[in-house]
Amino acid sequence: MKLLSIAARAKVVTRRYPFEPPVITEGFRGKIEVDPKLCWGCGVCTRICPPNALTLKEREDGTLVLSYFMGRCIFCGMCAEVCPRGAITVTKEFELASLTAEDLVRDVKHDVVRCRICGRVVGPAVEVREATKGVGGEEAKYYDLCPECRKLVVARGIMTKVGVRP
Amino acid sequence: MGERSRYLPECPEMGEVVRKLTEEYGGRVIFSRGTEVYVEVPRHALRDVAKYLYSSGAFLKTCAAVDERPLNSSFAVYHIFGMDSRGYDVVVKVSAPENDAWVPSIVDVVPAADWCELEARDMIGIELRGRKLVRRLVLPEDWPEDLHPLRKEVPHDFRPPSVKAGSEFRPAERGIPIGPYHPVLHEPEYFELLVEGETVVDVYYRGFHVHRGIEKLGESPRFTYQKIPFLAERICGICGFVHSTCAIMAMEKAAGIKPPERAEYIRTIVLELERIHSHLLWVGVAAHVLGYDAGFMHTWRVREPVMILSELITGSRKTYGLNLVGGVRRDVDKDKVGKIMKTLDRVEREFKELANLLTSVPQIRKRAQGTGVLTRSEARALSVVGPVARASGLYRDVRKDYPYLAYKEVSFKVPLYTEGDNLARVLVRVEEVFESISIIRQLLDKLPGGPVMHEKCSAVIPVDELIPPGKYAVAAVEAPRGEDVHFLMTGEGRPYRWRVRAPTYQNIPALRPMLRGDPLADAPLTIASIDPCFSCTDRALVIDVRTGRARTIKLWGGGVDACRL
Amino acid sequence: MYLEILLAVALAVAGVVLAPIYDSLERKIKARLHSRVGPPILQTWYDVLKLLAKELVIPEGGYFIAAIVFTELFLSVALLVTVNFLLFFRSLTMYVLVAVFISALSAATLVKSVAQNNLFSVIGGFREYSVVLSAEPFLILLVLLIGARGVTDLRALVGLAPVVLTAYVMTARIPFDIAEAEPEIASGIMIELSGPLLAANELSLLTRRYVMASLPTYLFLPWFVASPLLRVGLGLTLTLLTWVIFAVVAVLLGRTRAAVMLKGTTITTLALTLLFIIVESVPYG
Repeated sequence: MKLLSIAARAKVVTRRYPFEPPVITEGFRGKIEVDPKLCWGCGVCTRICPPNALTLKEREDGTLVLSYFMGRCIFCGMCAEVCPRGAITVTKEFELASLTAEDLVRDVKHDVVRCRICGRVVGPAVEVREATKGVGGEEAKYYDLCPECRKLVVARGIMTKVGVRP
Repeated sequence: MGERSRYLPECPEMGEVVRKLTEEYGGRVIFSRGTEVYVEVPRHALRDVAKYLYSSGAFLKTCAAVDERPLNSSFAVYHIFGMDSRGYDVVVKVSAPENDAWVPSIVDVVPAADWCELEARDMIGIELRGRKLVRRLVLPEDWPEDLHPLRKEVPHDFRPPSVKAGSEFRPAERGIPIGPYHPVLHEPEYFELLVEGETVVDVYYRGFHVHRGIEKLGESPRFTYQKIPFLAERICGICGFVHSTCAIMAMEKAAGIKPPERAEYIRTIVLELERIHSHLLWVGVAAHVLGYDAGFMHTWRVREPVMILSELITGSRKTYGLNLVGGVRRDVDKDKVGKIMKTLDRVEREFKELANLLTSVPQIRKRAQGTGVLTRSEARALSVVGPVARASGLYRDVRKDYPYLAYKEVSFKVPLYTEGDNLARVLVRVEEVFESISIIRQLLDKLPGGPVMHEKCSAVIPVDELIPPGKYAVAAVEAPRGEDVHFLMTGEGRPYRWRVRAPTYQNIPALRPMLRGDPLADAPLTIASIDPCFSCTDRALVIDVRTGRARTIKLWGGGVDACRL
Repeated sequence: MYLEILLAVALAVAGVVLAPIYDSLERKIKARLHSRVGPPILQTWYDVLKLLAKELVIPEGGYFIAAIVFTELFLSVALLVTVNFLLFFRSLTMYVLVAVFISALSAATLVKSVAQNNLFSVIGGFREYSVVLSAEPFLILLVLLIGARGVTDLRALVGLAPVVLTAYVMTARIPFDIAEAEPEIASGIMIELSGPLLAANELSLLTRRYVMASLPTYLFLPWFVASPLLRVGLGLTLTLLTWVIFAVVAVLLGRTRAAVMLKGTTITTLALTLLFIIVESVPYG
């Protein structure tokens, strides 16, 4: 019968994975990796991530953490496209199964700059430092203030100049 | 088009329809563009308008209910009529003030309106006058009364308590349950077949077990336009790209963004690749249902190169993540074009052989012929779509009727059969595979150069700035299962209302006439022959309440009423 | 005579052990025809042992079903033993016993299906009924005829055709597995069985398959070959060969539908049986 000839020609097509490597093409998107040396903690990736696998959260110990949870990741690679620092690479790894959820979390911790007046978070230390590199003089004294406090300080400065009591 | 005029009148021109609706029925044009016209008519005129359009050869695509109370203190229902032979849509809007929320039902005029009206009632809470009702179509039995998920005040992540059902329905004595879990079904749904001996005499359907609240999610603060294609892609695990493309097309239409030609070609190529893989998958499943596992295994073996090819081009075997507003994310270079051609050659050769084999197995021919018949008049009344329609003599194909993307640039045949039985549906799909291969070859041959992304768009740019609120769009794509329709009302940075009507949603009601009178043994094949994609069908508007919550309803709950329409 | 008894018993034991192995072989063949690797050669035994290790769940129909399942197993083994005795002792009694066991087994299957108190099972039972009706009466008739008249002439090998056909139908392979038909009626007559009950059911089915694969050989061989050892050798080999042929045929066909099958198979089997009777009625010499 025809079936026999088809089968004879096709032979066995099963790949004995995991004893053989899987078939992965060059276009394949697996999990992502965030390079802590490049990451600024700006959070653009968290805004583009459709399933919210990437989140930027403040921890109790006062650090800002970019948390990547593989369990939610859909491996779309949008985060890699939008990262202004190119800190995110899409790897070809997909063998991520684990018995504990913690194994699927990768965090990048950032020290933060806190407002010297009110204590609120201004931004990740790296971002603030790098963004303000080379800028000196008058401006520099505002970089450790949060937007609210900055407004107050500037306003006071102006009023002082003009001679009005705050 | 000559095919169609044998059983339908030729649709009037848009100008004539607009004139009639505004002058005779008191309508008012809200908006129009080349392929769509939106007319608001007073409530009392809706039935007459529906009668007029239906008798003019229109097909009802779907209706969408919208909570417009924040905008104008009323609820609205948009009925989308497709004038296939002219290639434009007429969207008829009716409004109901907040304190007098009812609209007339048009189900006796247009039977295809059945489900979408009930869904409107479930989701928005608008009353339907003039028709028989069932308790619930889409919402589960233990959903609280008077909680309508698509209303704007209901948060998208609200989890209501489980309310014990008021009355529990018992099925008829000899009902054979197929579902919600059954080996022949790939997703949970529930069919109850009433049999006498081995012959099916009636069918009850109860679906929507896998509602995921996608439409509501699309409106929620969590989402933005740029994320929608990724959400849309997950509406279905087989035809995901269709939904992603259709949603993007609606957004691009609303914003007036035209993606570059090369992007349109690439989208078309991937759409046709998806059609090939979907049909091959289906042929395998049909063989398996008939007990011919060898056919199943070999068909899927032939399909595998297509999946690997998809991964090469898009980055993933399924859920391609290729679409963004304004274009596509990846390009197809010469090397990839070569690989596509090679794979297509191989698939064509092997599938031809396989198709010959499958149609020669006596059991398959005997069981597929003459079973699950859907006559043309039944098909037209229910407005079925896709291969189901084309197997029953209805010449409907979105690629021909409302040409989109690069389909105008290629020539291809649309297979048409008139028997309307299971075998016809098999043959339509088999032929479509070869047509798709031909389409892709033509497209690759004349692939234009240029960018693949509109210059104003990219992943980084917040697309919200490009898509203003308050715009309308209707987009339709021919999915492997039939016509997929997305209706969009834009809001601030995200849709105000996004309605998805997947093809299977339109085709399931056709199962009733198909299954009646046939032996039970053929029921699984008939059910499988509409290529049901319940992920697509059930995806609409309710909040997912099933997480970890124990249900109190029994399996039979709602089964009796839901389909006694 | 003691040698023959010993050989018969040894063959029966071999049959029980070999049946699951042949089934694994069948799965391997099926897989290779599907371009797959297929399970290892002991897989069916692994499956049976795994099932035995699972929790015993008494189905809705109660302990009665368990009783029927084990009775079926007993009857299947008894059938196997009897058939093997047939290879060496060609008395009419043996043939009658074989016929009785075959029909008792069909009856047991029917009772089991109805007793499971499940709609799918009952449907499966009625389907099984139609399968049985189209083949079993002829098989029994052939067995009794051969037992009563004996086989003296090569012309009688015409009877191989209906025997092979009915034996195949009785193995409940595709296209005749409609009683189980997983995509249609979710395992039909086996739907309520699990764990050790399912293991017992599986073993009795496989034993019956072994019997059916051996019947064409065992019914005709003893009349042409005298040496008991040669009978053993040929019996084992030809049984394996028949099983493999059955396996390949099952892969090549799709599942049938009750009404379709009743007509076709019954007519064919009837015709072939009549042919056999006619051929045998013509006096020799």
